[in-house]
Formats: sequence, C-alpha cells, structure tokens
Amino acid sequence: MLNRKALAGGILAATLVLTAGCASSGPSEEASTGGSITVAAAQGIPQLNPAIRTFAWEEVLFPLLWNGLSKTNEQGEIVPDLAESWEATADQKTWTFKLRDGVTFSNGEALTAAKVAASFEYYLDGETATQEANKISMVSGVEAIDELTVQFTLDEPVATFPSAIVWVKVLDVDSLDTIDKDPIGTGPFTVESFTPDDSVTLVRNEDYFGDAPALDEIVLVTAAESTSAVTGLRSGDLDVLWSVPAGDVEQLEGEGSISIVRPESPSQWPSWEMDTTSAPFNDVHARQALAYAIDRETILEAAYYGQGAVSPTNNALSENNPWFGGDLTDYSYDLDMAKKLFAEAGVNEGDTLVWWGIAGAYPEWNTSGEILQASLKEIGINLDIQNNDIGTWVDEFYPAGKSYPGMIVPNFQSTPPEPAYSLNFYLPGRCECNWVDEDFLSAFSGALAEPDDDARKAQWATVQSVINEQVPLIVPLQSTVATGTSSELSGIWVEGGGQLHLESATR
Amino acid sequence: MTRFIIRRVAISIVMLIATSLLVFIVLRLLPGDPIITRLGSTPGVDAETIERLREEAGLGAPIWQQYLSWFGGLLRGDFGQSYFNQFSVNELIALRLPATLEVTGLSVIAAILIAVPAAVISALRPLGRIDRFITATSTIGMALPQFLIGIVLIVVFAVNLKWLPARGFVPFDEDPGGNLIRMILPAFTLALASAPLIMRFLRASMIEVLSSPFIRTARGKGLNAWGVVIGHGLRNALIPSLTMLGLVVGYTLGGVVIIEYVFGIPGLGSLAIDAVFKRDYAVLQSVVLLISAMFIVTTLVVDLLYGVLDPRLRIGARRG
Repeated sequence: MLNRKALAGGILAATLVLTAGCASSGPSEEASTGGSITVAAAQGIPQLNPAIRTFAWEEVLFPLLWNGLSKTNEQGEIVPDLAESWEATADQKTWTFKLRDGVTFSNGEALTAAKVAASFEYYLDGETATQEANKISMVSGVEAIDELTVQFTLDEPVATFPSAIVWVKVLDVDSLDTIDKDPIGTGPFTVESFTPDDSVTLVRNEDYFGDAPALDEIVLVTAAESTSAVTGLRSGDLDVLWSVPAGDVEQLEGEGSISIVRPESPSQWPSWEMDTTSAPFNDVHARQALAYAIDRETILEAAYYGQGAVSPTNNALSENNPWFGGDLTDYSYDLDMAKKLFAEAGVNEGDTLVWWGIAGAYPEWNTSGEILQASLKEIGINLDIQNNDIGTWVDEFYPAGKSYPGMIVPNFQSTPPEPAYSLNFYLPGRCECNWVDEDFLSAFSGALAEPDDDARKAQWATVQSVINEQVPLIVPLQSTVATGTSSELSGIWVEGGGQLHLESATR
Repeated sequence: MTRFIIRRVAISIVMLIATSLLVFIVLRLLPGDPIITRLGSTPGVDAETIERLREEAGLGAPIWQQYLSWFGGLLRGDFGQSYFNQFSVNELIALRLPATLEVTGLSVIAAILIAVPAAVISALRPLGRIDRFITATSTIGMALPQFLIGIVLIVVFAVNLKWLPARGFVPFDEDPGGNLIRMILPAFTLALASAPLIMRFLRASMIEVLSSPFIRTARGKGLNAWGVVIGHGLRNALIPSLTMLGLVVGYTLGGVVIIEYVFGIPGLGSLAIDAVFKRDYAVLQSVVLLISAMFIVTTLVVDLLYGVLDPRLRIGARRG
C-alpha cells in the first residue's frame, strides 16, 4: 500500500512538472486566479463510476470529471458538450451527433466516435445496472460512422433524445476495471486522490478542451454530522456545503459571510409511494383520499422550513416548470373529502395505515409523517409511524413489483425539469408504486415522439391529467436543495434536481 | 509465568474467533443487503439483475460457506473486497487506520496528562474542597455523551473563539502542523470522557497507598512531602491503574467511532458507520474484528505488563 502510494505520488509529481511546463507555455488569465476550495456533503462518495452511481451526491463529480454528448446549462437548456451539433431524421428515430475535434482523455488518448459508441454500449449492456438505463432503453443501435460522427438508432421516436443522454458520460471503457483508482475522463478536473466515503481531491485538467477552470483544486469531503458541517461552513473550514439542513437555511442566509444558492426551477420532490396493486391503495379512491388528507402547507412550513413550494395538484412538475399543465384536480387539504373517499375504498374509522420511513436521516420525512398522522387521526384513521435503518427500509418495497399493502413509503426524487425524465418515474418497472395505466403509457410515448414544442406541451398536459386523476404517488411539494457557499465564491449553480455545478466556480 | 501467558493468549484467540462469528451472523440477520443498498437509487432494476449481482458478490452461497471463505481469507491476511468499489478491505483499512491510531493515541496521552495530576491533587486531601471539585467535574465528564462534549468544544473553540478548526483532517506527512491542530479538539473530546475513569481509579489507589504504613515511615524519616507523594505514593498507585489503561483504550476505541463522525476524521470509525448503513458486510465485519482485536491485544499486553511490573503476581503465577 505504501509503495503504491509512493508510486502514485511520484507519478503525480511528474505530472505536475509536466503540466507546469504546459501552463507556462500558454499563460491564461483564468489560470492565475487559482486557489482551492473544500466542498462538503452529508453523504460520502463510495466509488467513481458514473454509470453505477450509488448516491445522488456522486453526481457532483459528473460535470467535473466527464462530459456527455450534450449537457444542461445554467438556464436549463440542453446544449452541446462533446458533440458540436446533432440532427434527427423526421421520424425522430435516427439521431446523428458530430463530435468536437481535438478532445483528449486525461490519459492522452483522443476522443473518437468509436469510444463514444463503446461508452453507450456499456451503458446499454444489461449487465451494467445503471440508473440511466431507463432513459436510453429505446436505443437499439449505436454506430461510429466515421472518426467524429456517431449515429443512434431508436426503437421508438424520441424528440428529446439529446436531453435523455445528458447524464450518460463518455468513459474510457478500457480502463473501467481501475476507474476507482485511476479514473480517466475528458472533464475540466482530474482525480488526484480518493479515499472512498471520505474525500476526493480534484486538480485542474490542463488539457481540458473547454474554458480552463479558475480553481486549481477542489476537495470534496464528507461531513456526515450536520451540526459540525454547518459549524464548519460558518467557521470557514468548509467553503461549500451541499444540501444544507432546511432548518439552518434561514439563519445562514442572514449571515453576511455565507450565500445560499438555489435552483431556478426546483425539480426535487418528495414521492410517497403506495402499492397500487394491493388493498387499500389498489382503489383509486383510497389514493385520492390520501391526497386530500395531506396538509401540504403545514408540511412545507414545519418539515421543510418553507424551502420549496406546495403542489396542490399532486404534480411532480413545479408550477413554474414550462411544461406544467393539464386538466388538474386541486387536492388542497380537505378532510371531509378524504373521509368520504376513504370510506368508498373501505378504509374506515379505526383502521391503521403504516408510514414506512428511515430513522436517523431525513428528519423532514418524519415530521411529514407526524403531520399526516395528526390529520388522519381527525378522521379516525391511525397512522403507525415506523422508522427503520436504510437497508431495512429499502428491502420492504424495492425493487418494483413488491407488495406492501397499507404502507405509505416516503422517498424523494431528484429529476431534471424535462418531463420526459421526471414523469418517466411513473413508468411500469420503475416506480415501486407498481402502477400500470394504458392511457398514461400511450400519452407518454406520444409526448416523447412529438418534435413540435407546442404539440408536445399539449401531450404532456394529457399525461399530467391522467397522473393527477389516478394519484399513483403522493407528491406533496417541490423541495429546494439549498447550497451554502462562502460569499467569496461565485460561479456555483444548482440544477433543478439538486445537482451541484462547481466547474465554473471562482474565488 | 509462561503458562499464564499461554493461557491469556489462548483466551484472546478464542475471543477473537467468537467475535468474528458473532459479527458475521448478526450482520446477515439484518434485513437488506449490500446489493440492494447499492441499487437503492436505481429505479427500474428487476429482480433477476439483483439475483445475478448477489451471486457475483458471493452472497448466494450458504452462510457457513461464506463465513469459512471469509475466515480462510483472514488467515491469509486478506479481509476481502468492498461491495461498493474496487478497493479491497485491506486497502480501505490501510487508508483509515493511521487517523484512528493517531486520535486514539493522542487522546489516551491527553487523558493521562489530565488524570494523573488531578488524581494526585485530589488524593492529597481526600474530601477537601479541591477533591470535591475534581470528583464532581469528573462525574460530569463521565456522564456526558462524547458527541455532546465534541459539539460544545466546537462551538466554543471553533465558532466563538476561532482558535481551532471545527472539523477535518490532513495527513501528518503532508502537513504536520495542520494535522496536529485539527487533532486537538477530537483528542480532547475523547480525553475528557476517559480521563475521569483513570482519575477516579488512580485517586482511590493513591489514597490507599498514602495511608499505608510505609508512607508514614517515609514521612517519619523526614523525606520531603512531594518526594513521598510522587516517589512512593504515585509509583505504587500506578501499577493497579495500569489495568484501567487497558479499559480506557477500549473505551476510547468505542468513542472514536462517533468522534470521527462528528469531526470528519477519515478513520476506522467513520468507515464502520458508513459500512453499517450500506450493509457493506466485508468492510464492517473486518473493521469490527480489527477494533476488537486492538482492544483484546491491549488488555493482553496490559495484563502481561502487570505481571512483569508487580512481583507479587509473578510469584503467585509461579506458585499456581
């Protein structure tokens, strides 16, 4: 181990000498600003393969170490990344991407269409249990047409394909066996050292094809204990704290030395799942009743400290999402309606439902459960709050297809604002609610295939109408992921789903 | 003496094997498994894929077979492979052990530096004003949970006074000063919790020693007061306290788990906590075993040292 460390140190020193040489040959304004920042989150980073990311926090690495063909910019638009341009055939089933010339991986190898194709094949391989599989499952073929042209053939038309592949990062598939120890990427930073679940030290990639990052170094650390994490941000030991506990946001915001960064259009949403195939939630009335029994305003204020916006239409899309719409029932808190609908579904006074949460993490879930418990009690229904450790919790309902009658399982989803990749959570086999609805499926594929924006908006409205009526999940609100940063820093932004972007951070 | 050593070593080995069995079985009785946790945020994975990943990770075999293969690995010095990355458990432990050893070592030293003078001063006038104050303070120290002491120290010294960093770690070989300054709060937190144990024990044995006839004789011979207290009193009282040191190391190793978590120190404790949440069996069972081994070995060494230092025990062992 020591030898390996020494060897790595030697290589690093050699690299630094080499890169220092490169830097001096072409001095740039940005490079001179330099500096290092320490960025913390409550979760750790256990591994470095973006295809099999374990926890949401790992996504902070995606734009720092790798690139996709397309990416999301700060305004939420899908723009070229490794691709220079793309086009689709009229039927939206064949997509051709032209790659940038002159991009190299951090091991010096050139980016080619063949490497891009190999990456996609890795993501598409059934053996790779990747979170991206669902978004690209319609890809039936990927082919390198020439050095810098890749072509995708799809089974079904997808007008939003460039948005589907934002999180498919182009990897050097030949070195996947050593990706945790020596990751190879094309991004603005490279990994200097990695201690799983504790820290990742990134240094600037001098050969990056895009604008050179301003920082010399980014250190990502785990600050599991929230009091000491917030204290670390206050005392300046941490420059950035991702996902600040909601209860601390207001106070931190009042302190001059800390800024709070929030996404433009929040697309992180608590999703309370029920098994729609077993009693009582196999009856749509029981699901609608539950939707009415939720005091969304109180939950937002008490559990989420006002960090977000309520969703009275029980919608995964926030009301300021450009695709929000449809013929939507308002499920604002109404216990009379809840009682009546519960009775229709055979849930009566004295019956008990179970809240299946996680102990010790996500305090907002527990508070939400307690508020729901008080509401249900008013109409004579008991809610038994059971909080377990994460392994026990997940085992009860995951993977999709399990039966868990009478349970309400709090969870949350971080999605892009694009409905194709947020509302797709309702697709069979994905949502543990086990919901299958033909109207939804046909409206969903209709929306995917529609290249015209206005027509697609109408299709998405139909999709939302079906979801709104059927209530396969409870979405009480959209929550905001607040990131605390030292006010000396700028250029940091957060995507709707909560993904932190540090690539253009400057001190 | 040899028989005593052999017996103690044999008992230690049996305890280690029992610990390994217990940890292995208890972990597998918990619901969930590492594969499920790894996929926890990956919607759309089907049951067959999960089954295949379980097989690949060697979780499909009967539990006794899994234990034997892990135990076989242990005998070869191979702790196995993490289910969450490409690091072997040996590598993960090697990355984390130095921080744990450092914070444990420093806190035991700090605990001794706090406890010994406090015990001596207390024992000079038992039930005097100073003694009552020290005893009361030590009771509070023992009663407070360590994470609370840690957070109070952070608030006072890092946030209000801004003397010390609130959290974090840098390796000693990279930046010795930075390393030590970050070690002060965690080491003191642990020391404040364990010093009372040493203090109370040492105080009791000091009082006993100071009231024994040979001290009166020494005083009667006209030796100076501090010479008697330190040279005769403390020296004789330290030997029984040595046993306490073994317990303190164990207590500190237990506390270090939560302290690493609070202060963001990349040690075995934070590795173990992560492994619990993720059901990373291979990592957790190895770390728990290692920490138990550290405790068992410390008590063994203390017992053996005790035998060496206390002639009475040496003679007793020879007779027995």
